[in-house]
Amino acid sequence: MCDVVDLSKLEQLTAYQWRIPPSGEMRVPGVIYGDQAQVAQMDDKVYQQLANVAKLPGIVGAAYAMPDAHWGYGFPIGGVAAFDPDEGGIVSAGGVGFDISCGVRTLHTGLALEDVTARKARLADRLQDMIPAGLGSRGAITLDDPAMHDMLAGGARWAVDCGYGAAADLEHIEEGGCVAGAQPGAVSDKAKQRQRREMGTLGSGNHYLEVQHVAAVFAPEIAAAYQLKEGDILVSIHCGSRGLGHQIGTDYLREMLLQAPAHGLTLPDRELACAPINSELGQRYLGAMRAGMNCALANRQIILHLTRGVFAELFPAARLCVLYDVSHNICKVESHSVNGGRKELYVHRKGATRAFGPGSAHVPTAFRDVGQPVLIGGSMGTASYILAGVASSEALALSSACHGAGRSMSRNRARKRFQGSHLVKELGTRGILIRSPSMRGVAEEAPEAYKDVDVVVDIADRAGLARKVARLEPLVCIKG
Amino acid sequence: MVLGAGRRQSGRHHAAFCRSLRHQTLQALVEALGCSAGRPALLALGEPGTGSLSYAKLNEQVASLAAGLAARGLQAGDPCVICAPNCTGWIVTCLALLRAGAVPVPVDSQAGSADLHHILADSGAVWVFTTSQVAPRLRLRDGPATRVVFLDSGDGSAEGWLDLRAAPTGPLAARASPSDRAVLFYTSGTSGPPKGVPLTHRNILSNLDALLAQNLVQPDDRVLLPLPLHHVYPFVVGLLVALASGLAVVLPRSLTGGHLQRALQEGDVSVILGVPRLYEALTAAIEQRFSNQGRWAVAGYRGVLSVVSVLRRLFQVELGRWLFAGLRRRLAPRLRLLVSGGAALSADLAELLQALGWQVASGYGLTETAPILTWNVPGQGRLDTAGQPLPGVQLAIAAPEAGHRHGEVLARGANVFAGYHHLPAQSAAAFTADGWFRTGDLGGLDAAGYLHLHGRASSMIVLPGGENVDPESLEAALASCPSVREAGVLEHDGRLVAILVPLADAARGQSDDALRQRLTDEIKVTEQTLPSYQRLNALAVDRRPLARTRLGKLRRQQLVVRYQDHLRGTVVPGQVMDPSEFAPEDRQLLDDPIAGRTWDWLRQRFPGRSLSPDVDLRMDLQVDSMDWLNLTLELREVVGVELGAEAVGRIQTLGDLLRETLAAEAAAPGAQDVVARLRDPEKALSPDQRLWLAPPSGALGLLGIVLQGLARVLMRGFFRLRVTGSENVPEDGHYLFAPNHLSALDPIAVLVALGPERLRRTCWGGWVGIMFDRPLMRLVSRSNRVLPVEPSRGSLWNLELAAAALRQGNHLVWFPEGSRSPDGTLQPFRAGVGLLLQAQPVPVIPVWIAGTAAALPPGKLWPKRRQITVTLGPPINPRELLRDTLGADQAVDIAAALHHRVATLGGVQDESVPAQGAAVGWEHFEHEADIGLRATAATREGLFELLGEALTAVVTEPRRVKPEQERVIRCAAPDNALLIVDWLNELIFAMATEGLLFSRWQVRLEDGRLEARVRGEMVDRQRHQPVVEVKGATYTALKVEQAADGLWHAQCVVDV
Repeated sequence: MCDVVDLSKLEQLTAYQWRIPPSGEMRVPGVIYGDQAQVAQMDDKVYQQLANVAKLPGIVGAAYAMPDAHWGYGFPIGGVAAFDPDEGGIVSAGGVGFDISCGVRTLHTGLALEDVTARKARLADRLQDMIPAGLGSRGAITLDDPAMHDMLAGGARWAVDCGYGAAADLEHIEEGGCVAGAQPGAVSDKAKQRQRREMGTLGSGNHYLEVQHVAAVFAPEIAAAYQLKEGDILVSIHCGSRGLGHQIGTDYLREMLLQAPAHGLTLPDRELACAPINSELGQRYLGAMRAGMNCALANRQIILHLTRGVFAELFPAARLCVLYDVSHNICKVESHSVNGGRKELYVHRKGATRAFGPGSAHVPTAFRDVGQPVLIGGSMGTASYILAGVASSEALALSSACHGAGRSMSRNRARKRFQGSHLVKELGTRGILIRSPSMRGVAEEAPEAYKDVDVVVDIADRAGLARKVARLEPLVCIKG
Repeated sequence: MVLGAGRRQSGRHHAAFCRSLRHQTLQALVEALGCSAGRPALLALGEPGTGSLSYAKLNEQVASLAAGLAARGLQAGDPCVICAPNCTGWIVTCLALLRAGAVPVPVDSQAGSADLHHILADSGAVWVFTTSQVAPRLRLRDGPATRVVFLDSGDGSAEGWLDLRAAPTGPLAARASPSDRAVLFYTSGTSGPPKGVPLTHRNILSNLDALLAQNLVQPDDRVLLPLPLHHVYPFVVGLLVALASGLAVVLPRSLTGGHLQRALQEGDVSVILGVPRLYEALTAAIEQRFSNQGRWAVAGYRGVLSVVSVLRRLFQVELGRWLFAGLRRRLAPRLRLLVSGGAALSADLAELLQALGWQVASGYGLTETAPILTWNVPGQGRLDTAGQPLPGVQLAIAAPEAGHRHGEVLARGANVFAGYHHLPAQSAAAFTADGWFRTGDLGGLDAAGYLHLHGRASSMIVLPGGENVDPESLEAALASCPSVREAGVLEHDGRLVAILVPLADAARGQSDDALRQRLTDEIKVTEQTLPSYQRLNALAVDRRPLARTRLGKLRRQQLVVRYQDHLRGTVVPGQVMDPSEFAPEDRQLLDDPIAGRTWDWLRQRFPGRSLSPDVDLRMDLQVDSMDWLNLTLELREVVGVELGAEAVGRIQTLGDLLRETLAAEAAAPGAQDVVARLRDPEKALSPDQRLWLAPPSGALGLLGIVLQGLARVLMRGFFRLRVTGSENVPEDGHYLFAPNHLSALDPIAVLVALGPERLRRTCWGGWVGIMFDRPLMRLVSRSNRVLPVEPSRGSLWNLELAAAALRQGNHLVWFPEGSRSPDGTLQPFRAGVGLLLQAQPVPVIPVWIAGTAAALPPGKLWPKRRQITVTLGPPINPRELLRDTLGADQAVDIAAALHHRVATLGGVQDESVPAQGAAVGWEHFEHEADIGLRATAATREGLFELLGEALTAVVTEPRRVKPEQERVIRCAAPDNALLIVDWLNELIFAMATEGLLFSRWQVRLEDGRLEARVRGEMVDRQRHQPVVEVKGATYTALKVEQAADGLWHAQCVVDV
């Protein structure tokens, strides 16, 4: 299907760490995490993309690829790279991706498996009724210009102000639910137009809302801090900034590409379009991207609110509260040690999750002793994981971990191989209820079209990127 | 059961309840809106561009609009007309005016023109806030004398309220004092022109505070406001109570059942502020649900209800709360309290609502009393009375006047107004010498202090013999006659007379005399139960509804005018009725934009005809079944709503048409329903429609045979028709013939190819545009059993006819493309053929016609002599067509599979199958996370077009997308590769923002600029099964080049 990486071009550092030595214009090495089997199957394009990222100005340390990195556009998916503004460092729209701040929010429900089993089908139906999903779905909310502005500046906090959820929800969201430095004015009218009617919608593709139960606990002391125990019912929401983010990506990719010569950048590839952090365009993109992050946070907050409504209707005893909300397509300013000192770096994570270890000031106080929850989404019908950030990850990969399992089969092949209605039936017999507006969509998202998330998470754990805490298995999956 | 005792969740919001008590003016109340900050304030369903507002946001909008208005010269005390249906802009504007110290003048947007002009002049308003729909009736021009502001998006002739907002920088508006005029209402006026009722801040706040002290609402309530806010009852008891308590207000899109139910559910409503008529509709809808489940279900429901009701009254056991919990949850999960006002709530209806498990609150009051005088606290009051006086309100009963049995109800209190606007005489008459306000209602107080009402003093008819007749109760008795829809009773020359409006059903087809006789007979029966002095001396029969106010009260003065018209014989049946004269429920219907548009269309469609909701389409407008076809088509064109045969069958009057249009809009049928109906198609067809299926007899049959003979001569002789594959069609059985479609000659060629034996039992699908537009063609069509079909927007009964033809054992010739191919290529097949085959799975004969396009191209009148060939393929079992279905929409898949078979028969490349590896075409290539598009074409334009198709194919099968709507896309880029990304991104943008999918692309390129006409349709989730949304086109693996052989190649990865 594709050319795979030539292992002889890599130096193996440990069982799970591989190095691309700098060559040609590469400013830093590339570092790939994975076991031999995984790396040997990796598409050669990942190798090329990572090597190209290592050529970008101002890159610090290395260009990292998380376990199960795969071919994306610009950066590989599962790619992490940090740039130093003082060294001419850049910010890249392709390093963030179209789905700005796509991420996972996991909720406690206060319910146990036996509470929901009997009413699972009703729960699935009501969730499908209430949560707009899939192409052509529209949210009940329409934003006018002032509201759009407020939403982009206020994030989940705006949503709470509008009555979607409670202030307590914000405590366990990255940045307290509202990222500073957002510039709604840097977001094009087209992007806003795309978002006008998309608030509170899941989207499509691999996005979902799942009702899950805790099937296994691996680290009881951390699980206790996260208030998890076997049999607990959780809800995970996987979605992003919707049309707004997509259009911001589209707009800025183009502008960065056209302005690259003016910025004195020679791009290794068009897809790596970027701009210096200390340029007007770079700053404008950061402002727009942060507005996109606020949009994603607001979106997940509204979906939380809708979900809460469904649970309140069916399970009066349910108390939905946020375990954590973490984005896996984003560029953030973080302090990391560089050559012995601390430095403010612009860390791009594309298809990679931030994973701060114990003691980090960015981690909510409740988790500060055990490390930040790292939420790993599965694909439809497969397990998800909750990991905890560990201290070793800082040195290994700028405190980053994987974000899920990638595709093993293209959409085309999956569509030819599987039939949506059969999959729904088959998963149903395993107690997993799928609700989706599109059977073709279900076929393309077949569990077998994805790599095994268990393996990916195992490697992340063994490589020292994050620590396995709990495995979640799905009961109900609302697909976009 | 004390309201509010059990459910208060926290003291957190209690402050909000007491807050208004501290406010001296509405201005202060509005300024404090921000205190409820994060709580939701307003949800306006179906309103574009606004959606929902939190209190923080509402406060901000109100403050900025108040500042903007002040900056444009609005002064404290200025009267400002608001004349619009309920909407966000209405509420924000009204609050902004209060905040600025101005005086809102809320006006009924459906008032007649005369009333509107009276109010504009009488109020002295300079500022008029209205909508582009209402503005023409106000006949205003924006200028220094009158400042017009639109509350909707407007028509460009004046500014919109959104434009007027400004940062609130200046000093606070002048302070209003409690005795200042706060709002100027106009009474809907049961007699005479509307009277201005000025209410002061103290009037309104005293009533508001008293209501809040009754614990009417709870901290987590959400209040549905279905009534127009120009009326004081929803304004004070609904809007102000909710805002003062920090509660969310939900505005439904319209008052039709579907929209109300949506509002109840989506708005998560717990309190409704309605009128009795609304609750009647609610209980009727509930009973309807049971009646759908059969006679026994209804009987069971009624039985349980009566038991519940008895237990409730005898033992105060609230059994209904448990028994009907499921029902209430389905209807509106959180709904707990129904507030009723505007008209008297009958004790029976109140009991029924309570038995169903809801709490009921009702009250009595007038605009002049801001408004509530007496009140039944939910769970405590006596709903057979008007309730007890609200704290702060004093009531007294005047001594009965001569001849009257009851005295007039008098009221005093801080809520009572001081007098009418500009009407000193009437103001003086409204008060007794010692300052009591005369309500004009007759009644009495019982020992427990409950008020019992006995009709209006002003409308009470005192006959020369001294007998009192309360017209309302007599009217109710008369309306109970089987053929009477409504009655208006009045006194004429000292005699009791009535105008009776018959039920439309009863009046249909009856002469005036016969109708009159019938009504007279019925009334005689009813009158036997009435005292003799209440018997009518004369009656007039009028087929038009009686004029009523928005809340349903009869306009008695109009009654007198109309009766005199009857006496003079000047009732002209052909008068065009103004919507303001319609019955209230019909007028509410017209509030809905869809119904409004339908009505406008009807008026254009039947110019010069008298139209009212009671007009019968068949009897009065002579609409026959053929006209119906056109009507449904036009309706679809104009308002985008399709009426099925069943709906058409239910429609008798224009009112029915409006209601069915709304219902069809609310619930477009799913594909499965359609198939089920096509399985048993005759049921839904009217006898007229079934006529189409009958074999032509007599002269018509002869005509058919003659025409067939002519066709044979023409085809064999002139065009040297060659038919191959006849042996493929067995003699027995019946088949669906599916030919391609090139020319008007096609049916004639197929007719000859089938041969006379088969023709005897063959029906045809024929396009109404040609086959049915003239009488001669209709004759031709009937003689050859051509069934009317409107392919592009056919209503369901076309398919039902075709399905019935198959079911009755006929062959059916059906052109699945629906129209002639413009360029000879096989176009996508419409889903209709798939639906037919799903319902009637007969074998299909694919047919390939060649040569007709050259012989008679579309648009030409005279044929050229070219050879025509018809090829009949072997029968296909419909189950084979189903084998490779993709998803839920089998009909589309069957049509697509059949398309492939017909194309194969014709030996042409089926263009919707991507030409993998072929020289020209598109494909998707593998990318780990996303999707790669790749295309090869002979021209650069063709390359862009193919990439467009490949993009659609990411989402759905392009052949499923109908090319119905056109968009123009323009972009420019420095090189071809960037232009490809821009092109795809523009398509993606149009898909995302408009919900479109495209299936036709026509690209023009010039110097790096692209201009394209693209055609497609809105996403239909059922039919298209859209799989992913495309996020954007990327620069990854982006390539475009012209190869040595001149072919263009391109590829691009799109993120999904």
